[in-house]
Amino acid sequence: MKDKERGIRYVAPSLIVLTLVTVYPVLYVFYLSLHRKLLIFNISKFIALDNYLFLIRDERFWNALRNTAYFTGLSVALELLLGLGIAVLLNRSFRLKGASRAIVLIPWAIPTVVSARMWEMMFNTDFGVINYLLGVKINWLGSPFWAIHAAIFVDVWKTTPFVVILLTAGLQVIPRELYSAARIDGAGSWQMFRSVTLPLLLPVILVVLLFRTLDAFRVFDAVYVLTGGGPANSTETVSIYAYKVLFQTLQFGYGSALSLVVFFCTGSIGIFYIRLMTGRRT
Amino acid sequence: MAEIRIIGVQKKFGGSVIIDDLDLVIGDGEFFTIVGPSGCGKSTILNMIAGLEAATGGSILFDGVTVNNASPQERDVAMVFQNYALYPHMTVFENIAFPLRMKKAPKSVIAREVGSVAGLLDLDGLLGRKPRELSGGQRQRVALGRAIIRKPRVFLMDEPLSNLDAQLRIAMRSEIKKLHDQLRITTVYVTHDQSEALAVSDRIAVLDRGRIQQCETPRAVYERPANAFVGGFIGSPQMNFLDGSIGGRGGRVIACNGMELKTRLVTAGISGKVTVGIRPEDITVTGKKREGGFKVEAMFLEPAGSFSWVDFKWGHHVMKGRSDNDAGLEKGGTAYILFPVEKIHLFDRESGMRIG
Amino acid sequence: MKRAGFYALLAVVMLYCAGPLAWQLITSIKLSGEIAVLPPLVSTNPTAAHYLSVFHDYSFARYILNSLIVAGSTTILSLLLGSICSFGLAKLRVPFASLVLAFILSVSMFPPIATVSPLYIIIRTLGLRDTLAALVMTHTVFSLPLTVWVLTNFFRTVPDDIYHAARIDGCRPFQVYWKIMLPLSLPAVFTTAILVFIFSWNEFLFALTFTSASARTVPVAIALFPGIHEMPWGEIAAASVIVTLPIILLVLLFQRKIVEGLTSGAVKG
Repeated sequence: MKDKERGIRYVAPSLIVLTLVTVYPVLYVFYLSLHRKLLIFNISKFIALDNYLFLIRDERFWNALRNTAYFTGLSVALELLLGLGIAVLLNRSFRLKGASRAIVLIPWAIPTVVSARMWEMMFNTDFGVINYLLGVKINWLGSPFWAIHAAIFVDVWKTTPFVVILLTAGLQVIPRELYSAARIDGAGSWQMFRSVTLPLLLPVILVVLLFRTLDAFRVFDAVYVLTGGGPANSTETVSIYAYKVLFQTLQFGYGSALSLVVFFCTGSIGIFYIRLMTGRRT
Repeated sequence: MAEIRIIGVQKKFGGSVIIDDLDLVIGDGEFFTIVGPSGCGKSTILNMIAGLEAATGGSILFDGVTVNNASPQERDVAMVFQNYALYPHMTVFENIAFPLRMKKAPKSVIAREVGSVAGLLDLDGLLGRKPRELSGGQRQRVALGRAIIRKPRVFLMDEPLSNLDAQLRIAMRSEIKKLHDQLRITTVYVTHDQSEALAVSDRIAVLDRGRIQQCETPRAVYERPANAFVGGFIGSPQMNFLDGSIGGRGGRVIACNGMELKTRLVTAGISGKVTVGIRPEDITVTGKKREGGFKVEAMFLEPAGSFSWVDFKWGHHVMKGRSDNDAGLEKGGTAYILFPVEKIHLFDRESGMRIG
Repeated sequence: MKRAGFYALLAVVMLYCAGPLAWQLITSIKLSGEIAVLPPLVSTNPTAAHYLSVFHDYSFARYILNSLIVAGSTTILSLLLGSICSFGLAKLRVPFASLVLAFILSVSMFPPIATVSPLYIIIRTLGLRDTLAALVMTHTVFSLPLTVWVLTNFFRTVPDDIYHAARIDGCRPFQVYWKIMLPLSLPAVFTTAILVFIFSWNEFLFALTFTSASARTVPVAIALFPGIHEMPWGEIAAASVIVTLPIILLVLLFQRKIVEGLTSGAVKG
């Protein structure tokens, strides 16, 4: 039994700091969200659920939630499709395979802030390389319709490599004999993809969807740097709105209520996917 | 070197009892083997002696001193594992030297000791290699070297040969035996292979479902198995078992398979249902009729080189015996079997215990 | 698919992935006058002016040093704490080990925005605002789930008998961890170190919130590049190249290890 006690002592430090720096703050956020707390004036007053009642009627919040959902749905779908395509492409054997894989990783490694700045310059209306290549003169970041799609595009560019990596690993554990067997049974490329690759890849796809949906839903830095939430709040996600309320207007009570919404949404998404995965296994 | 005394040791895991009330005395310098089918608890006993697992009850003594609460390093035991458990990031030299290094032995002593162990185990040329560059037999020898280098009080081996191929296994087991003869360190050896147990041990404990069935010399275990389980487990091919009953003429006749066998084994007064055991090597099968032989049907021959094993049908029973290569047997043909009555083993059919 | 078609497609993918960074590199060595000009040509007259300016006018050396200290300390602390925890989970009989692991993993799903306001208050109360320590602390904790997950998975592949053998050979459990487990897990430890370093180097939200001037890290500096009327595009490009190059170098050199780390556990299910 000595090992058991020792094991607890080895695990405890990590558990304690994790609890202190993540679980405790979340509880604290909940506490804050029941208050009107203005940091600069040292005001802190218990107001029960008033922040939440305000939230329900806050059109800007609903707008941010819609933006976040749209952003999440579209970018995750595109990442998955594009990632699947690239993973299948890279799964063939060819020369310079290692180098190609390393290059595919580049967008993942670039700091999000840098990638946002990079694309900001390329999306520039007047001298951006994108307008030049397309031969158009679109104000990408200045019009509500284009701005949200530009933000989605930047996120897709940045995170597709992660999807590619996981899906490639998933493809590699599919036994080659299955493809030989399918070919002998007379399946074509598309049929093999449909009836061998896709079903066997499904568990990995679910893992990818879990990670990516959670990440996309709490998106902050890419969009914050690219557009700051504008124009006209058209790219403002819940995280950005919460951040602005917290640190620009310093309303810690209402900001906390907003950030808790992100917490509960990501929590529900996580539970949904994990149930889906365990449900499939049993 | 040490005498190991195990008194009333018990091991429970969750709700199930793995070892129940175990008593054992392993003599100083003895080569002691625990043999049994997988899952019988033999590795658990070894781990409890090593101090890797704590006993739920009872006590373990080394030379009369209780070691229940001592850590493995305080017990001063060495162990060889089934998968060798060599440290993959260390060279052969570093692997063998590791126990001495943990004892903070001076460098010169370490170099000298590793040199002599390497010489003993024929590892001289391999000291600079990593474990992954070695063959199975070489890894096994490194594991032995790491165990013997610090001259432990007790030497523990957990199925040390079962990952080797058949030929190497037989070569290594005589090396282990030789090593023990040289070093005379108390050794507890665990295996599921009864032939290995018979070959190397001073004494054998046959274990089944957490209980010791018999604990004696290899010869005694083979010649006088304490119960039907030991009879069936020790010896290869497996002992033949027949149902029979004792009765008549003062309990000196065994009725079995429609025959009557006279025996001197049975003490007068015992009667009732028994299991009759006969080892295949004690049954001679011939094609020619012989005085006192029983008529059987030869079913299958399995040549074993200088002789053959024969599966035959005696009444309803399919049994195994041995025959000389010139015995004139034919598959499906009539044959005759002969066995000395004193080689018969009798077990109580209810309890399985040996009679006589 | 024909061979030529395959390579054409591959080239498009490579261009898509590496093109923007290459463009940034090209921009960073253009003269200021050439940047905001159509057509966006490759510079005929490369200049290092923007790079010099980044260090000269925007004190980037300071930010880079800050980032290095934060990412380096985070990596060391996270690996120390995390590997001890993983050793306990994988090799010692911790009760409810899988539950503990599930909890640690679920923490990685916590959105940072939901913790940033109380952490800000705590850090302010402790007087740690605008210090590197505040960032090291938060980055270490938020990278712990990754570290524990990758290392526990790796330690579990090491046979238990190695642990037993080391115990028999005279190691106390902590010595098994320090002398056997860590050295033989160096590849996995290294992989984790790269991932944690990249995470900390790139982290933005906490760095933005908890620092103002002296503890500012590179991503924040790039995001807040001063430029009210005219954006200093050349300098931004140069700074971007400077922060990205070390990371890209890591990726190109250790691509295989990074992939191993990222896929650890995800594929097996």
